[in-house]
Amino acid sequence: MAIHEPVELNTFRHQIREFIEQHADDEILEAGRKTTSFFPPFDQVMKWHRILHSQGWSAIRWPEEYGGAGWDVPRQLIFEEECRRAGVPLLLPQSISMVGPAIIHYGTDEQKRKHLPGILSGENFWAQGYSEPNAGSDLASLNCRAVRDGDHYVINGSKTWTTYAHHANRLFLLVRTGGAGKPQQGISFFLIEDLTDPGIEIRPIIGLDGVPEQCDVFFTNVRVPVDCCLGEENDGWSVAKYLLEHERGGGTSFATTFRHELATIRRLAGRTGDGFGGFLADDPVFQDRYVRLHLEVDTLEATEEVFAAMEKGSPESGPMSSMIKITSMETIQRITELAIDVAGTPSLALQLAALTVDSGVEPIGDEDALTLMPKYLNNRAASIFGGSNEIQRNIIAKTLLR
Amino acid sequence: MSTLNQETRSMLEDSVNRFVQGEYSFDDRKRNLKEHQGQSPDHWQTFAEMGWLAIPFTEDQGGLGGDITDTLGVMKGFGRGLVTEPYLGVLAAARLLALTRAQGDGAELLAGILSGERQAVVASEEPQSRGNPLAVATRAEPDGNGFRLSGEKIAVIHSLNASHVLVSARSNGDYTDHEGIDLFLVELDSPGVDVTRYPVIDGKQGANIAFNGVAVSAAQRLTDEGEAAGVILQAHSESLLMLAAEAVGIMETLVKKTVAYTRTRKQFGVALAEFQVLQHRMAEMYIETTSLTNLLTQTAHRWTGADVHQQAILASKLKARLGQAARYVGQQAIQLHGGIGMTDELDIGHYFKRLTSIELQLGNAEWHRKRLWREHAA
Ligand SMILES: Cc1cc2nc3c(=O)[nH]c(=O)nc-3n(C[C@H](O)[C@H](O)[C@H](O)COP(=O)(O)OP(=O)(O)OC[C@H]3O[C@@H](n4cnc5c(N)ncnc54)[C@H](O)[C@@H]3O)c2cc1C
Ligand SMILES: Cc1cc2nc3c(=O)[nH]c(=O)nc-3n(C[C@H](O)[C@H](O)[C@H](O)COP(=O)(O)OP(=O)(O)OC[C@H]3O[C@@H](n4cnc5c(N)ncnc54)[C@H](O)[C@@H]3O)c2cc1C
Repeated sequence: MAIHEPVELNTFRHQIREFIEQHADDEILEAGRKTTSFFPPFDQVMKWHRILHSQGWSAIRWPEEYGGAGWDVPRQLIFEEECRRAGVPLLLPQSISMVGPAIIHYGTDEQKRKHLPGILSGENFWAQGYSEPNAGSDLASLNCRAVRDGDHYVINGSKTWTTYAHHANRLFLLVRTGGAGKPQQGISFFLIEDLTDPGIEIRPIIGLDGVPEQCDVFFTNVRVPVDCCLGEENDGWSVAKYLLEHERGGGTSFATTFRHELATIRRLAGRTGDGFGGFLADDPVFQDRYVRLHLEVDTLEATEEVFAAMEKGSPESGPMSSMIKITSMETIQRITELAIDVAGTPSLALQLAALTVDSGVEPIGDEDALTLMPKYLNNRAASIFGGSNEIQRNIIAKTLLR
Repeated sequence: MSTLNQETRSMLEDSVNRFVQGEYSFDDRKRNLKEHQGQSPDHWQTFAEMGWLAIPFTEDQGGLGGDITDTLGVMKGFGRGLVTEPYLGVLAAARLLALTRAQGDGAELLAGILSGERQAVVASEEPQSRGNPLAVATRAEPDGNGFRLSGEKIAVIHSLNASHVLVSARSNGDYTDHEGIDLFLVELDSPGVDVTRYPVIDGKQGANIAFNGVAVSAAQRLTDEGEAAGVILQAHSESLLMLAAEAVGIMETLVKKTVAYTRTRKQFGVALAEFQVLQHRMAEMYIETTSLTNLLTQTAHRWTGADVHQQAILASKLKARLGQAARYVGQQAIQLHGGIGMTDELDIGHYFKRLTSIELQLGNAEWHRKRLWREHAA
């Protein structure tokens, strides 16, 4: 990658590298190493977010006028490569890559003034309140309801799978405000600023890996001001879809992250026996699986580049974001499969304490192998969240057959 | 050779099904994990009373006179119930004691295991062995009239009540030679035995056991000098057979539960089972599960007449095919359940984790395919 890099880009790379080396402390790096899903340990990732913000680098892909870094695509990639190289945690996507771009696109000046600075600085973290127990794939059937009452709406209903709601101090929410017509009509997009309201109850859900990451959120007569609505009342579906394109297309280069995962596996294979006296890295079966996955990642990168240059919300960008969602998530799922196949039985130990940042508990076995099983388990969700891969394939097929 | 009649076999199967249905609901299991780390003394007592611990042992040994294929009904039932007690691990230890015709302490231990009073574990896998039971780096160095054992064993299916460990060690030969391996019976609290215990993702208990110059007497060696490969291989194959039966029990359950769920869960105004892509996925889950079930049945039929080497090949075929089937069925069960399949609250994820654990134990599919290739090439 960096082999034939032009001098100015190489200088840029070294500036980034130096900054990260100077500012990413042990705790942040430990959080990077102990990240086992798309959502790194909260306190440390937000600490790193604030550090990046101090340099103006928390939302590098945003338009410069709103606080973006103003870098071209090669520089954005270099930044992400250096972050992966150093092993700092990836910033949480909900604020920066989801609600932020939606506010920039649909927000009033007042809403932008009010919400964008807190997103950039990391003072606020926004959770995503779309899914409901009975509205998963069929998101438009949601029935968490908001009824107008003077200058307020009154919200009743529930959301589920709301990632990191137990850490969030803000929530973006899809609610039903209208009645008649198609289910997509009558949905509004709310920006909820106060999660301490006694009418809001947040209950963490324990995942396959034994750790709470998602939450149930219950609303009982929660009053919010009418100006919390992003976009027009009853037109929240447009906002929601625009945001989903950003979610699915990824606010970051998955390819860069996945290469990093592959490199860890390659290192591990280099010191793991094949059971016949050799090492796995010398095994042609391992080599073939590894190279195939590397090719998948390289191809993903090509698609990501095309998508990055595309205007979001255009007729092509929707299916392309679905394609990125499918290919990226299935690639990382296969990478995590290779990972546990290489790690073998040592990855079966349940090591919740050793996985906790700052626990001081040493892992049993190879440290590189500590996270591989939780990653395998957690990544089963990658083909479910953000709209399942079946739904993404439906979207692509619909476009083909139009 | 099994001397069990059909009636006894059906009785065993019925008793397992009654136990799993009556005492091993998902909530019971959760309570057992919390209160007994998944190893309830009362359950173990039931195992003994029902005769499950005595199935593959001769009547001389105090057993029922069955063979290892007679345990497969129990293992299927344990798969359905996600039973966490270390039945397979303890039985493997007992089989080794029986196969080596252990005397003295070993004979006493075997009798104790069959009656449910004692437990033991087997330490075979090593950090670099990937489940190859004959890749042994642990050393047995002669020392006076006995030996000193040094090395590390990992991924031991651990029993919290085990008094002894059966450990393979090499007194001769190169890393993967069949010759030169010995099998020792060692008390777990012997000086120099260092046990690192941990919970496993599937609710069972695991352990890594380090042997730091552990002094053992010649009487603790269960096999003739350097001749343990045969019994170790046989016990390994038997454990693989049992694991496959457990996997079948799990996979059948996942197919059933996934079909039931997609029939009741509605999205877009219809049951999920209406979507053809999901129907095909379930058809595929069924094909994988039934293929493995059939292979298991055929393998069990061929088992009794097979020698140690042939059993190893049968076991490798089964485990290699299992890896492929279990991964597909487990992953799709979660996928078709959607978000709820990712939670600790629902049983689906726990079946998935047990399947994943089975996939990796005693050699994963890739290792067994490689072993089969070596057979073909030889
Ligand atoms: C780890 C994780 C994090 C999440 N984070 C958030 C979050 O922060 N905020 C949020 O709002 N939501 C979040 N979700 C929820 C996620 O968006 C939903 O789980 C997802 O949309 C699927 O909905 P469901 O779980 O109800 O499954 P269902 O919709 O019940 O789907 C079950 C199965 O049926 C299939 N299916 C459904 N409809 C069709 C069809 N028409 N054709 C073919 N197959 C179909 C699905 O693909 C799936 O395989 C998260 C989920 C997970 C697992
Ligand atoms: C080599 C050969 C030998 C044959 N021999 C005989 C013979 O001896 N006697 C005889 O009577 N016929 C014979 N056939 C015909 C054969 O049975 C038909 O080709 C077959 O039933 C498919 O019908 P079709 O070709 O009209 O394809 P179509 O039915 O038009 O199907 C085209 C594609 O659509 C798919 N498809 C169709 N319906 C569905 C659905 N509901 N859900 C999902 N996918 C669907 C099919 O799977 C296929 O992929 C033969 C065909 C071949 C190729």
